Amino acid sequence: MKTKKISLLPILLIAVVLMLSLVHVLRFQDNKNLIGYDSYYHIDLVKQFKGSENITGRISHPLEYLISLTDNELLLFRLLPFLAGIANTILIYLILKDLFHENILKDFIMIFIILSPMFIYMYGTFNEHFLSVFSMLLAVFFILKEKYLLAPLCLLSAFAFNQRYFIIIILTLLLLYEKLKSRNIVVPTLGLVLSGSLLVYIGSISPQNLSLFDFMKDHISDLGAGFGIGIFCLMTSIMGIVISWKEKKKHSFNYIAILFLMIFSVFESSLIIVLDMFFAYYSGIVLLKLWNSKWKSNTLKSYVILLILCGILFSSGSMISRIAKEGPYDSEILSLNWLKPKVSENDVVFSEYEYGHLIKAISGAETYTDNIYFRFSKDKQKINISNTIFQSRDLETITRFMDRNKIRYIWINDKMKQGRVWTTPDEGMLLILQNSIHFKKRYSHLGIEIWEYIG
Amino acid sequence: MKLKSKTLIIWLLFIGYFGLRLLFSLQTEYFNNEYSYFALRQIENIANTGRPIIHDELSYGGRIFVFMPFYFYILAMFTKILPGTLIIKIINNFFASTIIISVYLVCSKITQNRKISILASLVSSAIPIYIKETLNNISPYSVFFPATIFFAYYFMNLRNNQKMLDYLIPLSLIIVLSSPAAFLLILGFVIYLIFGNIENIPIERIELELVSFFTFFFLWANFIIFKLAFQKHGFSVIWKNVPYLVDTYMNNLNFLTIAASVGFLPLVFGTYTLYSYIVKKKSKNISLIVSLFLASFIVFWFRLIHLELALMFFGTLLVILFSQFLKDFFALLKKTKFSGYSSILYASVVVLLMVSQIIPGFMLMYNSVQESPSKDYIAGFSWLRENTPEDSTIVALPEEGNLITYFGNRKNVADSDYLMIDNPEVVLKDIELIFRQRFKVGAIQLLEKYNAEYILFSEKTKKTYKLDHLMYVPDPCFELVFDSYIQIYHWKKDECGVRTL
Repeated sequence: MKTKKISLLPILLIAVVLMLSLVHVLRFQDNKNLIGYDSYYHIDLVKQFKGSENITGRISHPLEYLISLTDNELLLFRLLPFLAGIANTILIYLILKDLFHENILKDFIMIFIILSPMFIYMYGTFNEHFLSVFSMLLAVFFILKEKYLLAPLCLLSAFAFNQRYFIIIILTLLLLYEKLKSRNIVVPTLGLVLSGSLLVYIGSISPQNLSLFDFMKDHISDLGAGFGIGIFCLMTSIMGIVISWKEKKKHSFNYIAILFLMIFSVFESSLIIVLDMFFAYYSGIVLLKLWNSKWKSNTLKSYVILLILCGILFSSGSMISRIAKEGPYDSEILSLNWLKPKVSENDVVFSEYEYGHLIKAISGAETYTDNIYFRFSKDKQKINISNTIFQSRDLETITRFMDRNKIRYIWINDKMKQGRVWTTPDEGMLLILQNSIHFKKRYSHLGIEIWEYIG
Repeated sequence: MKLKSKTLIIWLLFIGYFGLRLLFSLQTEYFNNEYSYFALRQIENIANTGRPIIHDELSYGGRIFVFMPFYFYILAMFTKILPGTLIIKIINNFFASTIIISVYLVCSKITQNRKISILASLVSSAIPIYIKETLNNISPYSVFFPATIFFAYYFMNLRNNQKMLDYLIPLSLIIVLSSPAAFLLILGFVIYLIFGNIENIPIERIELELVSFFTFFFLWANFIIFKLAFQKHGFSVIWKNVPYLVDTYMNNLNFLTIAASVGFLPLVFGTYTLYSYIVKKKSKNISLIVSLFLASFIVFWFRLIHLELALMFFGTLLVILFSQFLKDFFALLKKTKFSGYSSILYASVVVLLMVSQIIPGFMLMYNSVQESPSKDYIAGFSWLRENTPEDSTIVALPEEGNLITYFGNRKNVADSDYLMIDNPEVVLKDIELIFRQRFKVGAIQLLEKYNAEYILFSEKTKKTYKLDHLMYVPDPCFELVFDSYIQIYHWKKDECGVRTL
């Protein structure tokens, strides 16, 4: 009797919808703000586009510009990543169907991809990646379907949505080079992307933390990376690489690509997305190998497979709960709404870089540093200065810094006082704030403090 | 149904050993180490609420606990039947006593000699460090350690009988969920596989399958439990974030202390067997024991497990190897003209072991109970519960921190669990400074820092910091509110703050 093969796609789609909905359901239980402080960077851009005719900004941030044309930006901020998650699941499925003839391997890779913490982060929050990834996947799909007119357009739109994707575009083209029947699209697309990227990037790449643990912290979501790989996926993929070593010639390009991605992801975090795909592939190989291998004890075999699946579920589960609990919190929004009418055009607010976009988006005030500066500035001078000021107990140094940078307010939240910046209540600048006549506490509510520098 | 005589003997030994342990352990109502009081708090909380204490308000004035709670759940289950510490002592000793069965089984598998196996199991039951750690303490090692030896036994039988998996899978769960030291077994298996490869000892597929399962389960369970700690401390989580100030891991550790902890004869002759089976001879079962020994040596060297656990492993594995030595020795003796003296020699070995190992081991049981805290000592901690405000914080030695939280139900400044604690060296240094200050201002500054109002000064404090008394008392700012075996001083916060002074 011939058995009909059931497609895994509907089940995967249901899983994606459930997981992404769970993020929002958990979020809505006690916090109705957008997830993540970085979302407010995009909110700020939308606000800017609504208020002015910023042509360059519109070109470099087309999505935010399009959102600014509507009235329901908050809804779109939640809905767009969600929809992109569903669309990308379908696209990945179709691409894998084309690339791998072994049906089960494709299903296993899919499981690893959609259960990866990165997938949840990318489509559970509004970020700079989800739409670029969508365009990239669409381009790959068109390339595989030999639609050579649409593919470059999609690649270029991925580049337009996020200019830092030039490496990913190059890498994708290199990966698919063997699959391309017409190789005419490669050179013009590469040319366009490279010249664009040269304009945008020269001189802006800077290395971040390079110690082994910091590297792991930045790359493994279970160790705290927002945008990282699940620890179990990583472990199984290492096993997959070991297994694949027997056919090292066939996999040599992948090994080089993984090495390249691991090194350069230190400088460019978006590369972790591709790295995650590679790891999902090698994890899929391990699961396939386990599935097909004959074990003396089937009980042990089932337990091992179950443990691997529980492991990846654990990574995705902890990511769901983490992003659902992520800031900003009502207390922070409340304090910034209080600040809003008090700041004038030239006033600068001083706080930790993580909160820069939030402060700017809600209160409208300029901030000394923000997350974009932290990620992309080459020398991180402002971050180093901020840290020095936070830890300083020298009144003169602090006031000179305040005057020079036109800082009028200092915004402090609980996290900053509980380890992120200070560990004790009178550490560094906190002692000066409490004891100097140059500073006045203007706001103190639910753990948020706003201090005014009165010169 | 008739019990076979060898089964009967081993059950009798077990009952005798268990009874003896209970006899000594129940001499006192208290436990020897302060970890037991951390365990008691957890057990009581699990029994009452079904959950362990994770967010604790008392330890370090508020912190998060990260630990394997499995053993506490088992003990909590029994406290539902019979509340109090009595049942905990009984169950703890019951599990710890199974070492005698597990060592007997492993030795009989290896040596195929009943007399030697019984002797070895008796010797293993009297390993000094094992008695010290498990007799009158609530220790997950009471279940972890015998379970590991049972695991080794069933693993040896696995190649001939796949049904052993029915024991090995539950044992894997018990071992992994009891202690992160289960890592030792994984390392042991890896060495065993390497050994097999080098020595051409055939490794069965089913063994590899079990090792894969064990490894995956270990990684999964440990990552779930210790994820937060790993995020916070990085790789130092492996060393439990123990500050260098209290890191006395290998201090004063020499051949004599090791011999005293594991027993002299097993140490010498076990090491000789270890050497001969690495270099000259070949045996699949012994290679597993040798691998476990090497693994415990590696984890000991890199400080990956507690020193006490490492010494327990050394002791027991050396006893097992010692049993093989005895077997080889008597087999050799049979080939010589002294073969007629083998019974006399065997009797001499028994007497020697009785005198050097077994009797001193049982003497140690008695001594171990004498080391338990006295009623007068505990009275000071209990006094805190009735006579201090509920939110007060007490400064004491970190080794007394869990006594403050358990008996006094008050906050401590520090205890001996350093996981999830920021800068524990600073806290420990501050505590030392509070006791060592010459003038009260320095001490008051530190008391203010930790919001502490009481200082607990005990004999232990005197010994640790080599002090006779606090140098800044008597003083109107510090009132002696409890004066017995320990002294408790109350700092009059309102009258004597740093700003007031």
